[in-house]
Amino acid sequence: MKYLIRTKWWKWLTMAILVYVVIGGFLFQVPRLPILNETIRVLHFHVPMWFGMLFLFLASVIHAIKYLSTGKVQNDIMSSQLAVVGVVFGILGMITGMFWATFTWGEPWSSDPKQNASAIGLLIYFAYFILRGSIQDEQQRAKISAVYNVFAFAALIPLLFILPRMTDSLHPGNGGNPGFNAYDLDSNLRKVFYTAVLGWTLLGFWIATIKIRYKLLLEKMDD
Amino acid sequence: MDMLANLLISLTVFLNNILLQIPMADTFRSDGKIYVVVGIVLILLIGFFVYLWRVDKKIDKLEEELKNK
Repeated sequence: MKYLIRTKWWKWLTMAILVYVVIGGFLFQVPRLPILNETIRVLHFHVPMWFGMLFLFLASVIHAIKYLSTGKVQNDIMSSQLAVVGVVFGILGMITGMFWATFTWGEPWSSDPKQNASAIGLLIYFAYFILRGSIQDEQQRAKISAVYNVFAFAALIPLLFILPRMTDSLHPGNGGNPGFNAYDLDSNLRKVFYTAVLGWTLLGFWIATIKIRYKLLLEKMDD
Repeated sequence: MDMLANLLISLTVFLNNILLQIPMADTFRSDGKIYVVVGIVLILLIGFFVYLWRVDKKIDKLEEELKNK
């Protein structure tokens, strides 16, 4: 995170990648699939929201652990701001997913195992902010929320990646077979999709660095 | 009478064809005008980038100011 705050080159990379993702995502040939039709292109926009959220939460939990081992306030600030942007990505993923599902699965919410699990996951992170907001003492807040952050992340992984796979799900790659089954082999989709995940994740980190630097400035001004 | 009607119909079809051929700059109208959609999304995306970059710059400035104090 410190490296990202210090350097700038990766911001240009983010912009270039996302421009490529929009052009490639809209114009490249996609497999002709029933029901999905052209909406398969949403793969480059909806799914990276969740991957972005995951990477942001991962960075958040790393800084929470860093805070617990060093006790430096800046680690707490990084951890909390990364979690904020992560939740925003999660909400966007949820909204886009529901919109997509309306036209492919027939309704916005089919109580699909992965839908339910990701909703629970997001609620766990909402509780993180309630926890932070309810503690006045700064050190106590940082410490308790850092511990909570570790538990939240530990709960999120089975919720998103293990439990939905143990039952039948409308999401591809669930119900026993990990991966992308239906469009697994399409190299055109992959070319855009992997860069899309990287690009959207970097955008999340860009926003997070701005929020972190703002909070660090506030902290400095308080001194 | 029939011939006149046929002539009229073929004339309308001919005119129609000419009229339909008028639109130019055809790349942006091909494939259901998808390029227009791409263009608009790109404009939005670049707009947001510019905005984000400016906020970034403002924070840079503030950081500098606070450092000098």
